[in-house]
Amino acid sequence: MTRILCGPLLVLSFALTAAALSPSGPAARRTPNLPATPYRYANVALPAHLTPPGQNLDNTPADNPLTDDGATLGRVLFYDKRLSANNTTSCASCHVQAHAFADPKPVSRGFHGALTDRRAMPLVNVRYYQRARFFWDERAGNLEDMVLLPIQSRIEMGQDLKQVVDTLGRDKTYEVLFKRAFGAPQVTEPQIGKALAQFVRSLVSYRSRYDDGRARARTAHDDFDNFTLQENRGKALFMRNCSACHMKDGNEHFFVPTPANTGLRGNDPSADGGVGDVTLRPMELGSFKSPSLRNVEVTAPYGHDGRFASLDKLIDHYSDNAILDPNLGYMVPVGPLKFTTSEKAALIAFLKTLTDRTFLTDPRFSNPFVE
Amino acid sequence: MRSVTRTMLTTGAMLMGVVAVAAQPPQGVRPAVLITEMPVASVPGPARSPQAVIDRVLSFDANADHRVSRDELPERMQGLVARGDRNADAALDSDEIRALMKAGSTPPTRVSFRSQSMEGLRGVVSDLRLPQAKHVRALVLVSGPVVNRVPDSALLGEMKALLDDEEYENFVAAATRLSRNPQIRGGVVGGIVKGEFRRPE
Repeated sequence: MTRILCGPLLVLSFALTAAALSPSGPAARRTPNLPATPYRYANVALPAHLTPPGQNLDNTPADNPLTDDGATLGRVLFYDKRLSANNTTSCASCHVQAHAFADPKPVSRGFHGALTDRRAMPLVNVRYYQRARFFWDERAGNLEDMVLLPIQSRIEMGQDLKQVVDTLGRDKTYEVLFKRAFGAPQVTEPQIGKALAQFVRSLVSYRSRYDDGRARARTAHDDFDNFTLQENRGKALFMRNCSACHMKDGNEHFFVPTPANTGLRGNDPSADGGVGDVTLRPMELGSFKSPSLRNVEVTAPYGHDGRFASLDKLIDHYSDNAILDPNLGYMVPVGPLKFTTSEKAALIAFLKTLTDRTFLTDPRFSNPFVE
Repeated sequence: MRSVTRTMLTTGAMLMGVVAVAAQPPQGVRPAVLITEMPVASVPGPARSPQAVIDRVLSFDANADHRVSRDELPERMQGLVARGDRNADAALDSDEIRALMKAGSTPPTRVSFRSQSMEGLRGVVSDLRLPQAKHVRALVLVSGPVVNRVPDSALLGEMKALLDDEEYENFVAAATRLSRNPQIRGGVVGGIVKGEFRRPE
């Protein structure tokens, strides 16, 4: 009986595999499951501590305001594998929701399996990175252009934008989505960029245990009533030793506001130069953009090259390592912090309070192609 | 002139910081942040020389023709060729790299970050989140005419007697970090000087 079933099953299995890998296979043509009324992406009310008066961190440009229909289109594009040359890779292949839209692998792989130089950054509260520069080396000056670059990368998605426009232009689903988002059914390159940028800007995390406690605390420095003693100790340590960079001006999106050299390049002139490789400013060799610390618990491994497998290893870098980078001190003039084991545990306990489970499972941000 | 302005701004902000400290209730003390512009050229080193950057870019010259073509560069750096290729040979030589560096030589206005405590050892004790009675006793021990004093052997002995092993270890670690920061050691109260961010070109 088993033998009788095995033959047909194998044939079916091969057929399904071939269909999935084929550029014109059914996997590439699936219709997204979208709600009849679009999810709400625009005008989401953030807690007061994320919108302090007098601070405008929002990098949304005037010509691309966030709309529900625009972000809906962006969501479908974000998960559509037809944006890659062989229909195997979407933005979400490396930007995984459960990992705060970071790549859980140390270095991201492209559509042919080739390794890229770095790992895909987390996409958390990107809208509130005031400098509005993107990638680890900040080579992209606006989000609308940035989102189109991985599609065209020979390693990442290998696709010609004209081909994307042509493919999507023949899909009735996109005709409707583009019309809703931009008023006309035609698919254009700039509008692909705008829609993707809107979706990325909608990825805002604000419902962590930190936010819950913060809502009832007078300042971020006060103990939070929903934290354990260890978490409050960790918060106090963070405020004293880390907040000058990660919470500049009390910014609770937890971005370092400019690229920083934290000694990752060491004394190796052949190592990734980060921002310096783009600006060619000698003092910027070894500087990298830092992602928001929100959801840092799930964005391992850490660093542009994923060299730190865990939060423990990451904190060890700042705590114990002799850092040899000649450019160190340009942005982070601190020596090894020499945390005790107990302090490290408290810091990690605090960092885990920044995890926002709602964000990580929010259906508004999930794969619409899942049946 | 610019440095004078900067000094005035810094001083003004520091004074504002003093006023702010004076106005704070005792239970509301918290770390201040001193943010100052750091003169980029003040830290010398071979990695900061223009030649280091030229060598860095030419290190991708796989065929050793003393030029680096678009295909020889990693994708993330290929934009350099479009920006700097003056003779339209689809590659960069050392002169073109140097010209690119010159074009981008205006240093961005950057900020550096230093955190410091206004409470000295009192802040260290506060961070330990000790039980109330122990907290009060520890505060008494570290208080004195010099707020930011470095713990001496007598104080360390008293703290060791008061705290359990883990608490004491954390106290010593935090006090050591505090004492390594010269600004804190000098008892300087910080203010905030806002830096300007360079907007995207």
